[in-house]
Formats: sequence, structure tokens, C-alpha cells
Amino acid sequence: MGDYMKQLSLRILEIDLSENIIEVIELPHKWVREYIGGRGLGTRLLWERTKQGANPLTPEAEMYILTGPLTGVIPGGAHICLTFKSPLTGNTIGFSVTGAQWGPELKYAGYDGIILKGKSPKPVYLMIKDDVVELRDAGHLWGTTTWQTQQLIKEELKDSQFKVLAIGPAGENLVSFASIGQEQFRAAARCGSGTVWGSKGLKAVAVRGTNPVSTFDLPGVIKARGELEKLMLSNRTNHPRGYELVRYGNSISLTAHNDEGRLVNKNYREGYFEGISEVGGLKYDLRYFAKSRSCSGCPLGCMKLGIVRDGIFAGNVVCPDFDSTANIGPGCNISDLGSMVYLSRWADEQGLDATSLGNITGFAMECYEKGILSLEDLDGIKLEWGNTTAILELWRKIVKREGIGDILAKGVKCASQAIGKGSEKLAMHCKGVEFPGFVPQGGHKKGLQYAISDRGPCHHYGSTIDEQNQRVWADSLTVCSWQRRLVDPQIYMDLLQTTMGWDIELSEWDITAERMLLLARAYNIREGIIPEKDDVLPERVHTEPLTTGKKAGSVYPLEKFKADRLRWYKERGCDETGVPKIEHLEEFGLDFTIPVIKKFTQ
Amino acid sequence: MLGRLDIRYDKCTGCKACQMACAINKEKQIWPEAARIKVVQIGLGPLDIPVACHQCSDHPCVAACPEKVKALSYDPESGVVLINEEKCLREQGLQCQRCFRACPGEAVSYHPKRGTPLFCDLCGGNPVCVTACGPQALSYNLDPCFESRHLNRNAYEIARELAVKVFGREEIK
Ligand code: SF4
Ligand code: SF4
Repeated sequence: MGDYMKQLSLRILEIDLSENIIEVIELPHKWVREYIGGRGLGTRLLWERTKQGANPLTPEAEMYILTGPLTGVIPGGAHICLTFKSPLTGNTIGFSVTGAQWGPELKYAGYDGIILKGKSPKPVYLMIKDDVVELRDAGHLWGTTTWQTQQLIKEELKDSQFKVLAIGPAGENLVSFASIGQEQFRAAARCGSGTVWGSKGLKAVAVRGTNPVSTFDLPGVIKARGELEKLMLSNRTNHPRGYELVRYGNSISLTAHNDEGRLVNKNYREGYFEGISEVGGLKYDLRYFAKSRSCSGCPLGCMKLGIVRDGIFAGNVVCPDFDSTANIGPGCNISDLGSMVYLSRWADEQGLDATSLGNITGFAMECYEKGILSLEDLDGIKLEWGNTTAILELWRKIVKREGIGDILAKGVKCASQAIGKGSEKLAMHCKGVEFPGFVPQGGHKKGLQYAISDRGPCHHYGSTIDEQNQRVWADSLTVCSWQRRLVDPQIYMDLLQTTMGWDIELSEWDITAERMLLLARAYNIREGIIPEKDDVLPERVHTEPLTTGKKAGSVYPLEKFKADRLRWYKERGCDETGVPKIEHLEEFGLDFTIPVIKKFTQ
Repeated sequence: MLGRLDIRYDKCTGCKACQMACAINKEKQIWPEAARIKVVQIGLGPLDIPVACHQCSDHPCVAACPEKVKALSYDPESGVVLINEEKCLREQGLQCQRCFRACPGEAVSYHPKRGTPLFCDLCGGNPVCVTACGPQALSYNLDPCFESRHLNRNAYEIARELAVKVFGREEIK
């Protein structure tokens, strides 16, 4: 058995970009025990370390790049969560998750996470090779795509096995929905994570680790992870969802959601896309698929690498998934498979969140259709539904922030306010964040999640208490959310006992989740969110019935939405206006938030 | 006589479960860097290439170990390369890399702390990397006619050829 105190400490790199000061700090044991890692711990740090009302893009803003206690140890425990104040909303938490190999590599370098603060006077990248940690000049990388940066850094450091997170031109130019990419196609995309890096002058973080992971009870860990590995191996064939991920990945579900009438089409006016047979289902598998790829340790390999074989984009390597294609393809009415998957790759290369980008493009297309944006407003771009060439022209302007692109680069909410002329009603967002690939009129549960989710609309938030608890746990353990569905939570408890030396039981599952979710809610209130006013959906969802597909005629009636929301508020320990109840905050150890909540309710 | 690892590069997803299993079995640690098999990412995709000992029947690595040192030998009974760490020049702090350079697949790596070469012994005939490989990119081939010497090449070369196979065309971008 290891040393209890030693095992509980996390080693966090604190990087002050303004002063070029690099320190290793330890986090209080209590926080780690109560908030686990990743998303939960990031929320705790955001509350504690940042001032109320801070601007997300100023030097005082911070970002927490955190692994979880099981990262690098278990199969599929490969993810990291980036937590920050969202530049897209300006007044909520933002977080973004990405898998692949980067998190485990950081663990093997000997760190559990990174705190970024300050602003570098010139472009830099952070290099971590075990004990050597330094900020290096990135002047020569500025302006390059995420792919180019990843490659150039590997060459510069003369080790192709560095794992590199990088922003592209979009993040540099402070496009509000810029992403951070790794391994070409993987990204921490949502909420403007890349915008935060751009504001700090940080181009990339490259990490290479060669150490063993220290754990509390190594033989116990090896045994417990071995059991999980066996289970995951059997899930390749024994579990229907596991099999589907192995065989097809998740973009195949475009068709299923379309059949159910809840897939985005034409800026959320419809939940059914008539061109689905060209881009959904087995089309990708049959025409473009080349091979599967995985995150660290995961036997499923849900990423389907392929190549466009025909049309103007032939020869481009692609790797689409549901979230990177739904808003771009069906959302913008693109029924050409090659165009859809190439455009999604284009977003990755430039460092843009494909979800927000697709949403905003659909918005602009509807504005053009309705005459709200003229050809002149669009700098001559004929932005018709499904017009790939026009889309690319528009996107180049967004990245460069030229003309109409500069307006759209601010996100759909701000853009619609700038455009005016009733376009606000066409902006499909909550709290300033663009809707992802589901249409609430056709899927009320998705709509509810969009409204109540703390980082803005997100179909990963979960619509029931149980789902939400599972997902915040996954993001805090930093295990893959697919894996979480296939695994009994008790397995994670066993792993936490052996890895961290914690005396932890399954009874803590719901309590911990509730603590994390209530804290995020309290943080948002501290930063200016008024739940009753901000946990809402755009009017279209309540008033404009879908006209096609299985859910033709459907809306999400305002009254039903309000009733659903109220039920959720109550279940989550909030009052009828969505504010956490004081006694509830006390019960979950959130006393430190009470003064803020009391002030708000007065 | 033991068999050989049979690698289907197109099936490898780059999960590195093999690498982790190897490290756990040999080092009793969560320590992928200390594994005998290493999976590297190369080029567009990227493509994942497992780099492992092919058990060449002529053992260029053994032949390359200096005559006076002979830290490496070949076990005719099992067919694997044996290492006597005490004799290895690296044990004395020297940066000898003769075995690595002699290996056509550059499959010899050095222990991240001890510095001595890591050699695959096929886990005595039940390789744990094969068991861990979900996508079945690795298999254990007992056919005495299966000689993978000619397949044992630099990972970059393998990746170049694999790209043409999986993408079905020479020109990719
Ligand atoms: S299921 Fe997919 S996303 Fe999840 S760990 Fe496996 S490869 Fe990664
Ligand atoms: S376990 Fe199999 S699929 Fe995974 S990296 Fe190793 S060879 Fe590739």
C-alpha cells in the first residue's frame, strides 16, 4: 500500500503566461475528494480562483485543463475537460471535453492538470516533456492551421510522439466559437475554448510523458482495470451500442434521428431532412470509410477515418461524427456526402466548433432566404441552402473576420442583435450558445436539456437527474461518455478506491453529482444568469410547428416546457425560479456559495 | 519453438491496449513507455503503427551486439532473443544503439529508466498484447512457415504503404 497523503495530492502545473512563471502546485485534498477531477474540479476552481464579473478574454481569466483520477490508467479513460468562463455567453461556465491520447500523456509526464492564467506578450506554446516545462516562441506558428501546428511542433521537438493541442487561425482571431484541436480530427470544441487561448497568446500545448503513473494500491488497480478491460472487450460484440460504435461509429445515427423527426434541418425549422439518404446511414461506411481509430486503451474505436473519393473534395482525409456533421450537413441542407464531411474537416483545421459554425451558417442562410441579409450584406455571397462553395466563402470571411464574417464570428446571438430586422427570432441559441444537432420541437427532452444546461444548449447534459449525474461523473472522472453507458458505476468506485486510496462508495454517486451541478448553477447566478429568464428556449421552438417528417405539426408548447422545467428545478433542489435552495446548498457542502445566492434572491 | 506476432496494420485503431498490457505484464506498472511493443502515430489520419519484434530468424540484433560484449543471445529452443542486462554496454552508462540500428523495424526500444534494451519474449507463448487487442490487429501465429522478416520495416515505410491500402489511392491530402 502506498502513502495515503501522497496519493491524494494532485500535481497541477500553474502557468502564468504574462510573467512566464511555471510552478507545480498541489490542490487541497478536500476539493479533489469532493469534486473528483475534470469538469467537477474545474467548476470548483473557477468559483474559487476567479473574480466575479471577470471578462473571459482578459488576462485575469483562467482555464483549467484537467484529467481525472483514472486518466491514463483505465481503458477509455482518456479524456480531459477544459473549464473556463465562456466567451460565447460572457456570464456562464464553459467546458469542453476531448479524448484521444493527450490526457494520458500528461499523466505520464507526471501532472494531473494545468492552470492557465495571464496573457503572453507574444505568441507562445507550452512544451512539457516530463520534468522539463517551458513556454516557447510560437511566432512562426501563428497563422497556421491546427493540423500544421501539430505537425510543425512535432518536427521542431524532433519527436513525432508528442501529443499536441492547438488552436487555428479562428482562435487567434478571437472568433467566439473557436476550438482547440488535437490528432487532426479531435477537438475540445464547444463554448469558445480556443477563443480563450487566442486571447492569452497561447497557440498550443505539446506534451510527452515517459513515467509510470503512481497509484495508491498498484496490484489492486491492475486487477480492477483488467476487469474493466475484459468487460469493454466483450462489449465490442455483446452490447448493441458497443457493437454499433465498433462497426459504424456515431454518425450513422443521423438517419435514426431524422426518422424520429428531430434532426436539425434549415435552421431548426424542420426536424426532417429529405436528403438524408445521401449523407446518412451506411453511405459513409460504403463510400468513404477507411479504418477505425480509438482513444487511449479503448477497444471500441468509434472514430471512422475515411477519405472523400469523388467530387471536388476528392482525396481529402476525413473523420466525421454526429456532432461535427449534423449542423453542417442536414442543418444547412447539404445533401452531398463529400461536401458535408469535408466541411467538417475544414472546421477542424481552422479551429472552429463545427456545431456552432453549422448553426450560424444555417441562421445566415435563413436570413438570406428571408431577405434580412441581402447579397450586398453578404459581400456578394449567394448563400443559398446547400451551396457548399458559398459556405466556404463565408467561412473564410468568418475566420479572417472580414465584412459579414466579422459579425457572424461573434456568435449567433450577438450577430442577430447586430443584424436586427427580426433576425433575433431566427437565432437558435440558449444563453448565447448555438443549438447542436437536435430540433426541440421534435424532441422535447433535448429541448429541456438545452434550456437548463449550465454551459448552454448541450445534448450531453442529460434530461433526467440520473442521466445528468452519470454524465457529470463521466466528465469528472474524465472517462468517455460512451463507455459510461456500458459500465456499472460500481466499477468506477472500485477503481477510485485502488487508484486514489479513497474510501468511496456508490452511495456518493448522486451526492457528488448534485454538488457539482449545483455549484455550476450557483456560479452562473454569481456571474449574472437569472435562471427563470435565461433557462429558456427561442420562441420558434414553442410557436412554429415542424411541417415535415414524423413530428410534422409538433412544437414544444411553452406551457409544457415550463412544466417540465419546473419539475426539473424541484428535483434538482431548486426553488420554482431555478435558484438552488439554501438548505440544499448546505446539505451538499456548498456553504461558500450561500452569500451569493442569498444576495441574488433578495 | 514459439510462434510470431502477426500484425494487421489496417485493423489497428491506435488504442495502445497492447502497449499497456505489455508494460503491466513485464514491469508490473502502469507505464506504457516501458512496454516492448510501441504504437506510433504517423501522417494523415494519423495512421497507427504497432512496432514490435518480428522474431527474425537471422536475428540481426544479436549479430550486432559486439563480439566482446554479447549481451544478446538467441534461444534456439523458444526462438526468442535473450538479454543479459549485466553485460549490456548501456548498463555501464554507454549510449550503444547497435541492436536498435540493426533491427529492420527499429523495434528495439530502451527502458525509460534502466536504459537497457527491451526484448519481446512472446510472454512464453501467450502474448498479452494479443489478448488485449480488441480490433484483432494482433494475432499469434504458430505456423512454422510464417516468417515475417520481410514485413519487418521502418514504421514510416509501413505507414506510407498502409495509407495507399486503406485510402485506396496514392494522393491524399
Ligand atoms: S468509444 Fe470512442 S470516444 Fe469513447 S473512448 Fe472509445 S474511441 Fe474514444
Ligand atoms: S491493442 Fe491492437 S488495436 Fe490497439 S494499438 Fe495495439 S495493435 Fe493497435
